[in-house]
Amino acid sequence: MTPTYRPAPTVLAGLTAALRPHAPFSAMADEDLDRLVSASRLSYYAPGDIILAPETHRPEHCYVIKQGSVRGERPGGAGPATALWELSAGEMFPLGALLGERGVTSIYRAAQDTFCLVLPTAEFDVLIERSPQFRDSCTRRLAYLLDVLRANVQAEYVSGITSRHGMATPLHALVRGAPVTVAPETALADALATMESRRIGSLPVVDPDGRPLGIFTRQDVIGRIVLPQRNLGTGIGEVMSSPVIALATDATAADAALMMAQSGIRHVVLTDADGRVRGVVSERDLFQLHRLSVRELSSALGRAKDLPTLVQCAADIRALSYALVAQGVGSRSLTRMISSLNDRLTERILDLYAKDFDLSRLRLCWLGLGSEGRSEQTIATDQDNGIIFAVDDAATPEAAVRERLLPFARAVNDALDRCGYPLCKGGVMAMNPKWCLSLPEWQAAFARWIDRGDPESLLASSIFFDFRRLWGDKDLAGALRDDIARRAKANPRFLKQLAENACRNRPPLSWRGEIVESEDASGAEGMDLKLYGSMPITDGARIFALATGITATNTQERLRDGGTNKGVAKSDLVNWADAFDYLQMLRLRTQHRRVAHELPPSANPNLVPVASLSDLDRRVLKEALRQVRKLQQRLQLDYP
Amino acid sequence: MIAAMGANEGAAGWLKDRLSALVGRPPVYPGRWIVVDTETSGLDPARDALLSIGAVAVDDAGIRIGDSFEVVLRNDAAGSAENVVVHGIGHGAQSEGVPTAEALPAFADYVANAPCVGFHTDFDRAVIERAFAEVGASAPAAPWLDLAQVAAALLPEQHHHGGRSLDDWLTWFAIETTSRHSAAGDALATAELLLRLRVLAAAQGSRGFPALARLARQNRWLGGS
Repeated sequence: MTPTYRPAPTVLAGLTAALRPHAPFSAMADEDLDRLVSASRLSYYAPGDIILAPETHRPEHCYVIKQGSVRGERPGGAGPATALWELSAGEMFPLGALLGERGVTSIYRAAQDTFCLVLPTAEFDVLIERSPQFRDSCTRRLAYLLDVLRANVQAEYVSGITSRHGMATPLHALVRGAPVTVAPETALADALATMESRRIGSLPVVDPDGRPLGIFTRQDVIGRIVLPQRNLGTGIGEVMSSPVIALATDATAADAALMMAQSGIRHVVLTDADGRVRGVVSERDLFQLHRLSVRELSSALGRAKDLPTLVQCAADIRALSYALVAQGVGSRSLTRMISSLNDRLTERILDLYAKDFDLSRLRLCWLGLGSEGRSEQTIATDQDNGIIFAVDDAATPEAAVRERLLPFARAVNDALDRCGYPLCKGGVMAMNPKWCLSLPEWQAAFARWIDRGDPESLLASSIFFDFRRLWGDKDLAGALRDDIARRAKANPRFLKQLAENACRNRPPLSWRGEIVESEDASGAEGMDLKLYGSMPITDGARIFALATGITATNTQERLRDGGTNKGVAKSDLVNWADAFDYLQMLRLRTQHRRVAHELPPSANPNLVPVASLSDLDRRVLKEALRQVRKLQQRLQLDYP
Repeated sequence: MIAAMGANEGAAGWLKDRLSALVGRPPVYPGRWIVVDTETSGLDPARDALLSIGAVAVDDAGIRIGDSFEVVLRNDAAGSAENVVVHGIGHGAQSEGVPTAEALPAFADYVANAPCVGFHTDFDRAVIERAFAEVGASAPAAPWLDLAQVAAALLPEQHHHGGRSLDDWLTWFAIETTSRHSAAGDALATAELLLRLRVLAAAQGSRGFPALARLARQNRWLGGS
């Protein structure tokens, strides 16, 4: 049928008036909004109706809510508990899938009696072409876009988690190592000793061919051994549970969860095609992911007594950062949480190693530098750190103190390396005698950088000027910070050099606003998110702070406080902060994707191939880069 | 009121476009129903004049905004002052309306024998049929469905507690409406009510036009108004 777009004027006027108050429609030309409404159906969805479900192909319609609300749910869940977000009247969906030309990844369900204008995708495309306002609001407004993106990213991560850790996981993926089993004649004393020494919660009992006869678990100890006062010489076959509830190794986590729920058991024995025991999956294995919470990790870090435990905690921090994105935690809070966990990890390592070295009668302060100093280390980047020490006794030469400290610093640097924060290739580490300095030595170094302003000094500024005390004597760091603030503010030439440096790497946008890719040293094509994106913003924020005596090191805080002191318009500051968030999040996502797809580590982890981005990401990235340019223009005006 | 006049002037021009677009090509797709509402000069279908007709088409998936209809008729007899206030169709607008001899065939073409739906359809149907008769034409021979009966049948409790008028039901279902009290605006609101009632009826096993018509008939026999 050929559609006839000739609606009755009153009907059209009524519906366009209903859309007008809402953001994407308020700016549209009458003609374009009329077209949108005319080409739509008005459909009703009862509460609970599924409007869109995950699909591989691009959705056939765009939906605008006229009345009611629509909930996004992760696939596999049900009910409000799994809601990811909620959309209300005037909102449009699924923009990410329509713009990204892909299927939706979440379930869109009517939360109330809902009427939607349902627009065929072909018409949506026409409007994107025809109406600059519609296109802009769909693809440019950063805050709006970031909202859309957050939902998309979250959905992407959630589906990643369901496929990686979720209920579709085959059980053999959860089994580690060869199974520990015993024969039925094994004495209880021996069986319990095995469970204790191997730290296992359950023990399958097998026949000589390895087929399961029964299972004994930790929960059985009190009821079947202690209370009946069993002789520990008794064979385990007399107290085991039998028959065994078993599943094949290719059954899924969902099967195991269901079986556990139905039979009220905590352990399921896995058997291979010949019926031999291959392992045991416990309830805890199934819900491992839920173990990860900021609070629990933080207290685990506090309790950790050795390096292997801390290495495990560090791995958990990385897994948590993935899970937090999946839970829809925004870049800013994510960064705050992960940074504070990284801080605790570093503190704990320092506490542990301080005991192994003689640090008596020494005042010292461990500094986090670079991104760690800015509390922006969501990505496991190389470590950057240093030590400030005090020489209270004029008779002791600084070099002698340094000699005492360096072995301690080396041990800590190595421990951090084991935890997944690689040694700094540039040697910016406390174990390097150059960066294990007394307070006067640090003050002299900063004075030199500020006065000289040569390329080496400018490079140093991006690492050292963002130092933050992580452990040890507060006053040492405070004294250095005050000294720098005073010096930098009084040296406009240095600030101008910093500004020139911040403007050196202009985002590669063509005259048409397209992103231009370049090759890196290894020949990989892409856009360097750090060099052209987050770094100029970090640099700009640092200049605002240094110029106005703000001692904060975090980029967001420096933008807010330093930018305001500098008289930058609030709207610009908000946009730059949003752009920074987005760029940081994209760096994190790029790295996560690399891990999730088991790609080899790249020579440059910040290089994102633009072609691999969804259309929506590309558009947000362009807008973020446009904001970077705006900030650079501002710096050029401030420091002509 | 001025805005409404403007829209009606627009409506006259729109109808001309519509007439030329429609000749010989009524919209045809499966499951097309027409939801109709009329405005009249009074409440007596035997005497009062038909002032305007509004209609929207509905298919299985929803209301087809693009397939809707609206016409203000040119009437020599002016409506009562009271109705002018309610409908915003002043004397001026009516004298600028479309001559009945043009408007009614356009409406018949638009309906194209699709089943018709309304609220208190006895009234609308009578007024429309009389208007057709006055110009010597026959009204579309489509079956009619009265949502007042359907609503009363599906929700007898609400009906007995005052669910009588279109406004009552729209309020009860919390349907937010736009441009009410024009024939086309009321047709849209009635169509939204239809979407809600269809879901309720389907839940009770009544699907499709004949099943809903049966429901309405039964309600009438059982003494519903």
